[in-house]
Amino acid sequence: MEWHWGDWEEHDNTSPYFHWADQGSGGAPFISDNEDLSEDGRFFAQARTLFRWETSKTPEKGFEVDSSKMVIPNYAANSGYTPKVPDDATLDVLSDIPPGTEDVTPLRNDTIIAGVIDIGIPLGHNRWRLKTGKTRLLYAWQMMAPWTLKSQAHLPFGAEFSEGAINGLLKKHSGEGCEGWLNEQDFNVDTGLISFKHRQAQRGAAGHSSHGAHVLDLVAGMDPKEAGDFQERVRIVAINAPTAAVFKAAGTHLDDYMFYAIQRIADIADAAWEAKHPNFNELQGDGSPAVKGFPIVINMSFGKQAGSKDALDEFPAKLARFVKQRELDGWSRVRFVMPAGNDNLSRCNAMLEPESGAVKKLNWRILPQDHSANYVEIWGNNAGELPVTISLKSPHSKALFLKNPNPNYLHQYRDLCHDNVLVARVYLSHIALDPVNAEGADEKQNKPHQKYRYVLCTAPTHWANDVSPEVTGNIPPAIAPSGLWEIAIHNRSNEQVQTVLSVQTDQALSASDGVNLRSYFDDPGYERFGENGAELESYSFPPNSKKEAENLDIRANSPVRRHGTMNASAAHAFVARVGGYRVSDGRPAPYSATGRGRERGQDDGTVLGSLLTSGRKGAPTAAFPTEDSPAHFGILAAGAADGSVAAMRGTSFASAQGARVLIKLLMRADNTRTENKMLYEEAKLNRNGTYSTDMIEVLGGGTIDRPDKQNMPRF
Amino acid sequence: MVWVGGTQGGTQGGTQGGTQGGTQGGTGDGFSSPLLAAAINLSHDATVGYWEPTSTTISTPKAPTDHLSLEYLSETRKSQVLLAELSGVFQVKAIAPGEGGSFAGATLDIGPTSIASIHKEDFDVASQLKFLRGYADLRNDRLAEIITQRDDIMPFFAAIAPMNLWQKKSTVALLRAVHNLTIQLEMQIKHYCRSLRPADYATQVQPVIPTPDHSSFPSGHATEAMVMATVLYYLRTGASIAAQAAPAPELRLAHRIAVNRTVAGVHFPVDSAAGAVLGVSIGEAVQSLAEGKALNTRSYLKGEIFLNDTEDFTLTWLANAVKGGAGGSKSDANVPLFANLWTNAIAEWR
Repeated sequence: MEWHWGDWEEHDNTSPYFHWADQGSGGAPFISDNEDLSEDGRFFAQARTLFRWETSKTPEKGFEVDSSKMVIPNYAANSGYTPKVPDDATLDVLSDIPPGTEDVTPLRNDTIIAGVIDIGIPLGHNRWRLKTGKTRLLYAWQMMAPWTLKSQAHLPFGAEFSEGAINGLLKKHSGEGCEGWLNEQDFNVDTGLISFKHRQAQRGAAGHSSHGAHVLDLVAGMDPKEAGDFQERVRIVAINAPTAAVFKAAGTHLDDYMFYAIQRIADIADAAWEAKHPNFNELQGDGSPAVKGFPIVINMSFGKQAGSKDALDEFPAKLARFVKQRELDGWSRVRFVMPAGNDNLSRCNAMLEPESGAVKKLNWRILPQDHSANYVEIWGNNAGELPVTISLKSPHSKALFLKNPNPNYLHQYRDLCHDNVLVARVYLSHIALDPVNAEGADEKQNKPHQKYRYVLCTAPTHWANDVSPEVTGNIPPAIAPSGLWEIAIHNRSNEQVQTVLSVQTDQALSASDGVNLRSYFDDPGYERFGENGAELESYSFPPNSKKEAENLDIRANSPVRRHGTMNASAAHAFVARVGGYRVSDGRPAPYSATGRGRERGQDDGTVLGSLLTSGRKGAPTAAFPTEDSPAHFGILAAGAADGSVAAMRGTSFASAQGARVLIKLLMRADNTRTENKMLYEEAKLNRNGTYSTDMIEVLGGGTIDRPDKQNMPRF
Repeated sequence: MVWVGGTQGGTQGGTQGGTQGGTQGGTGDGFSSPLLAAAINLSHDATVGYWEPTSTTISTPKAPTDHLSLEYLSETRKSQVLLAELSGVFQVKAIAPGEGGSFAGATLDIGPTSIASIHKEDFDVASQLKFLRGYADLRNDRLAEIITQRDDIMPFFAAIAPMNLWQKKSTVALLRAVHNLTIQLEMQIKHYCRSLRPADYATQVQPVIPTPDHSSFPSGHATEAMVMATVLYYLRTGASIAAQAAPAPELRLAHRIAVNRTVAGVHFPVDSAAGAVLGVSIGEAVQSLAEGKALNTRSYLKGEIFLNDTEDFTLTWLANAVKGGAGGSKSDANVPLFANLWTNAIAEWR
């Protein structure tokens, strides 16, 4: 039972999540079909050259995704894909619609594009069709469809369906007029949405409810027979992204797929606009060129928990570049909406603030028979020398101190072995703010723009696969011990420091998968339940007669906090962030994540006022209903099958309502404000009697009614 | 074998006991017990006294004259009579075994006409198991259907076309008889097509319901569901389910019931395909017999109607498969009781 650390090793800028899975002990424990494996026996596609989206108008300014670090299932990958060099890039996203021969409904000049990136979005629902029975979708990219389904050379993976192609398949499966009963399961197979052949193919839309159907209905669904012009004006680009089985339980590759999706939505919308405006050269009143492009609203009901939660994270940094570049190029603003997240009560967020020379400890509970790796990120301010070191204690070892990181390494890692088996690793990186985003930082507060990040990685605690020597090569599978691990922060600086710790997301790898269990911070001081037995939330509810609500985190004597659980992918200024509330009384949904927290107008830690900010937006922008009935949890919207309704709960569906409110405001030619300003001001107009500004960290500017309820009289 | 009685008694007792006990107690063979027998005996002795059967002491009940009607019988008796009548018409024959000695399938004959030829073909088990692996993701979603349909598929058809005993008495009797007939025939055909279940090939299948003892091929649930779909659709509309351009609701339901068995882990898609062909054949045959029309013939056979082992059993495949079949000759078989019930059942719908 010998434990020891290896030496610090220099590391490139590869994501620790990818590195731990690819060259560590964090690999996904599932075996795939032989036919899905590449020649060298890997499940995922071979590394490729740096990818730039070929159809981007300004490819040198598009999202850069390093596909050598991205995983794409072989059945979905275009093995012959060659990215075009920027000089060759042409605006040809609509080139597979021969003019006059495809079955398309012309776009209006006042079209608004609703982009929805989700999983399990069925393409045939009547609620995203026109009165003619034809689709309102301009395009749908099924990222995880077998590439051979359409063999489209321009796609790096998956299959894409144009409006004409979707209408063709609607006719095939429901009759020439698109009006008959739709044989939806076979339609869904033909449109690459579901497949029962491949282990990790998408099947979410084969059940009675589907995340993507619910979200798209809330964003842009409408009865095609309903009066008004919503259906004609709001056209849709749907991107069916991979599930966690592909992008990994901890969201390792989620960002890359999001970048592809965002860029594609914008390209399609812009190409459609250019097709309608071939010689556009209008000027504004001041003589400057008029803004090009349809308004675009993109809902991304995704996220992960751990991160810097500001513009130092890769996702917001790239999103900010994208938004700014479009503005520079004279294109319409893309407005993004994301959920606050559902981790409020998951005990996944903590703050440790050791004084100079002191040590602060936190218990990290890793569950037995967990088939996936576990991760904790630790972030802190790093204005000069690294202020803290850490130690890690397994359930069966003494504290293992991690001293003397190499000051010359920007990125480094160190292995923890148990009887010579690699069971854990710690990565340390120094991360600086993207200079492009420095403009957005709050200069008045002289906030530092550099942080350090530790990522603690442990192996799964259970190995479900074959462990016979011929499979494992006589190397025993790496199993981390389950139980109570201990993380300690050693402050070696001259002043008290603040560190933020968060347990990374651990999503189910497949339907009904109960084997990748999420770890959590198990602190004895954390109060889960109040005196009446009810689970404690972020604030007391209802507010008192003075409209004051008590911050229950501040009252508690624990570093584990609900404040700060905000979705890391959304905790920045470049998206609108949406939480959930209960309609009957305005109470925040207990799971709806909380912003960083405020005390006397300052972001606060447990003791220190936070200095950990750079373009961060900790609080939600607004809140939408996520519970609207005494008869069921969640809210009603489209189920997986056309015409069906399901109740689903979570801030994903609040986010979708936020996107719909933006669309409705844009329909009123309200085209100048940012997404955050639009939703925040709308929320202020809607504040009801139980709203307290003390609860801004969970409800944002206020609660907003469900935007489509007048179109759904039965609800 | 206590556990068999335990599970079957639990589910079947719950559903069948409830309805049969209720109706038979009042109108059927009635309820008997030592206590009731002793009580009636005592009452008899106390109330009858001395009596001698004479023309003045016996009544003259009305003699039955409608020999085609079974209305005087309980549902169970009615079904038994009809089953006996229909069973005499059908004959299952094994298709000659190949060199390996195992049966190659079976034909279902009415006189000289094979209305269904179900050929058992070798298939790539691994390809079919991939579908079981994929469909297993739907188990949580479909558990209620899987468990309910294990014992009874009729409520699902009754949801499409309401069938209560007061308004659709003949229909219920007819479907019950046809269902019982189908089970008898399919079990015999399964015997001649003996094949292993998915869980016999891979420990990972782990069905969510007990794996049945009888042959995997062809699927009994697919057969029975397609029989019900074929007959009910005809009763309801007067048209053939096989001739519809768009899949009828009954066809969609039959497909789902069959697929649910793959989701559960007890059938390969090819089992469902063969069962569906058999089912539509039986459904069409009872209609032809009742109406004195020419028989239709179908074969589940490579080169004719057939599901390749790398294909899924989809609704599109099923809708195309049932369109097949060739016209045969009219049967000499006579099923007057069933034909009378058929006429009465149609009258309940049209």
